[in-house]
Amino acid sequence: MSLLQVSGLAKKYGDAIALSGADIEVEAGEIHGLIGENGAGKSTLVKVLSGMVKPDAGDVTIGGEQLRLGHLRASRNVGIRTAFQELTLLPRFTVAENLLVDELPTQLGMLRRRALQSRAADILQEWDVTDIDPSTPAWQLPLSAQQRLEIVRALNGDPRLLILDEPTAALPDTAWIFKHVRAAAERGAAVLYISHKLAEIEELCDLGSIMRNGRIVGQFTRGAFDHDDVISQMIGRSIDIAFPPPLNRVDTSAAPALHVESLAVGEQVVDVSLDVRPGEIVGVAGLEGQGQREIFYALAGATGLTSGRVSLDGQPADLASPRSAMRSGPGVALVPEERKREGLFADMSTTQNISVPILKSLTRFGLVRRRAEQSRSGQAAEEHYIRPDYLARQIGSLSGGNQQKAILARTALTGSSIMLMFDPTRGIDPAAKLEVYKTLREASAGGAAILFYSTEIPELIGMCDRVLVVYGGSIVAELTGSAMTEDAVMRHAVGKTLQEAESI
Amino acid sequence: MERRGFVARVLRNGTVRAALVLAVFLIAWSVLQLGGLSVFLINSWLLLSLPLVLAASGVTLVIFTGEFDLSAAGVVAVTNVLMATWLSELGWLGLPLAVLVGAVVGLFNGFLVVVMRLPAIAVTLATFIILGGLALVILPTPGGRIDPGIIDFFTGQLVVPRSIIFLMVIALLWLLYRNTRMGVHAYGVGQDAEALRLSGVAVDRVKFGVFALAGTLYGLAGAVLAAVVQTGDATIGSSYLLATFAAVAIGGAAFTGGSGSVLGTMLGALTLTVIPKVLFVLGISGWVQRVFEGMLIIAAVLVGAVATQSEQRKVQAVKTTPKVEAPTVSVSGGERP
Repeated sequence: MSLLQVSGLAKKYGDAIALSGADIEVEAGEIHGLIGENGAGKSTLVKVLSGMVKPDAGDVTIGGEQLRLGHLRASRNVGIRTAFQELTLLPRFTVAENLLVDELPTQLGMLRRRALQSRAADILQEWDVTDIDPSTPAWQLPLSAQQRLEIVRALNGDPRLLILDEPTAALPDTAWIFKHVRAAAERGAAVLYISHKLAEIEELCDLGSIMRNGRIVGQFTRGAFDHDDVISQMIGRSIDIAFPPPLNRVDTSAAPALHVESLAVGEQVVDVSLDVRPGEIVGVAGLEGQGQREIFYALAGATGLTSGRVSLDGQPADLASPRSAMRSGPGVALVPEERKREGLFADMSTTQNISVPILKSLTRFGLVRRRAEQSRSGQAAEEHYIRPDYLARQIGSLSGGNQQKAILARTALTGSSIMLMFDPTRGIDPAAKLEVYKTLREASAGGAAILFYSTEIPELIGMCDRVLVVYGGSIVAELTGSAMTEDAVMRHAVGKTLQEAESI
Repeated sequence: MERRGFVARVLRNGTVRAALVLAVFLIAWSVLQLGGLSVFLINSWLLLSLPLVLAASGVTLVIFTGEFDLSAAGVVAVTNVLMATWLSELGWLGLPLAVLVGAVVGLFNGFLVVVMRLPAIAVTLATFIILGGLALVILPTPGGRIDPGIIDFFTGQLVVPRSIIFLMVIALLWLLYRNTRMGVHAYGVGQDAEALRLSGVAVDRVKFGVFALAGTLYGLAGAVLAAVVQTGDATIGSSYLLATFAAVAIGGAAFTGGSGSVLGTMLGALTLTVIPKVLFVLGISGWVQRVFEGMLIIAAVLVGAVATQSEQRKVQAVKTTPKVEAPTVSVSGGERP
């Protein structure tokens, strides 16, 4: 009987399927690797096991006992400890308070500061963390120290099931974590180790599972870890959409409309340089959290950039705010990642959502001329394949696909000819996807320079002139023409060097 | 860590900022007051501050958790008139009963906010309005009688004026509370409730307790106010709605929760009650006083924001915890309309 048995987990968020019949077993003392593309369902699985999310169906047993699902305390009480990818530290608490927050030492109701310090120091020493002072507030620590603290918290709970979700994302040195994960397994813990980095999985894990589309699609064992095989199982998604053919040819001699040189954003983006010419669609591929979001948001003026030069049509860009980015030279417009939160005014009509950027030109004496608004929005909607009868409806009541098309229509109205598309087809239906592709083609035929990030690699290959792969905050590969294959993109995305990728 | 001046580092502490503000006004007062400051003048100032200090401290505890509580003024009004009416014949017993009334209101707020998950601003605004009305029902016009023993207890002398002793007791209780499990966890709730919950802490219980404790303090504030002004007045509490929040702002606590000190709020409350004295000796009218207070609040918040800017940014960077039940991925989507 395995220590952890997961069977038939299913979870939907609205129309989106996160888990669909996931089964997994991990023995006590086993280090089990879990890999999969973005959106394969790994993080939802972690959330279910940690009690953060209640699945729609399925069972989890720990040591033969049924786990009460969707209950944080139940998961804790049976000994599940998770080091989350997105850290759960309390920023203003000291290291010591963070380590012992659920079991603060007290005497007569009063906190024993001295005992807290010394117990925290003991804990840090036990896990070989010698460079962190227990009295430092968490926010003052560098990211790598914060990540180690998160891991120590999970290790220190003497877990029966230890879950590590991308534990090395901000941790260059794997020796430390490998040592302690192995030790935890030797003490009898079952370990679920999630990483994008194949080399780590290969080195550390006894057994592993490959996740895709919300379920486990393959297994591998130590010594029989075939990179090609694993990668092909990770992608395995069939291209069942016909991509519309390009309407224009890119003039490769033209000066770039968007020129980025040595861009750095915080700790997430280091030294990114890229060019996008008029009429060109340049794809960006990367596994979650490799800095792609920061690149797009910095170029759109939504977050500050740490250093680097950005020019638009040869002129230095003003990226102080989204407003100034839109007005800078040919203008930069972003289609943001989270449509609902960042892109929509859900209670307003589709017409109103589309007309936002041109409201100023639609006003007379400070009042919006509704009829002019309707005709301009209506025209933009038609060009973006939105049915006219949706215009008067609250945009929040439309499907994701129609919402996204409205956002694209709005983006077109900004008049910006540099478009940053951050995962524009996420969670929308195939018909709407096709229409999004068509509008991208039409925009690029009209001379727009498009930077296009997608979590679906086939889409990038089908739509883009070139694909840039980001990993660890920099561009690790640029693929064009016949070298632009799903396989090659994934190889670079999981962090293999160029030579390695070519030698296979 | 950063190479900034000593001044900048000191100003990062909200309590220090509040102490500096108060010091400026105290110096101004002592210079301007004809014949200098007397024990009598200082005592009357501190006595008048005492109820505001108590109520604002309660508000601060709630704000630490990232919530809001507008009910303080309502509780103060009700307990103030209760002390002058129904409770006045009970002698000593009136005091704990008034405090109990405050605690009950706090529990009621806590129940609606924590258990029923209603927005704290709406809930506590409603309790404020209800209690303000109740106070007028109980005592439509100012008057009533306060038990002389209670008046003497708060206003009397014990080597030094008792007001000083009470302020020290409040400060001491804060230092104790801050070191209880609940006190520590309450800070954590305000920083990132989700992260704290994932760390195994019963977040709801902490919030509930804080609302109850705050209500208790408001009840005590109302009783002390009755003893200080020696009469019951249903409308006297209404100024507390704004004054408590003004004291928190000057005291340097973050309205988003998770940082600050009750000591700062105490100093903020003392500042608010010393301002009229300074302006009075300058011969400036009461209306100008409001303008002045408003500008002071903006200045205090502004200095605080500038002083803690870089800290705030780094703190935000740590708060990236995933939210429970957040939608993650999408594989396909059906056409709805």
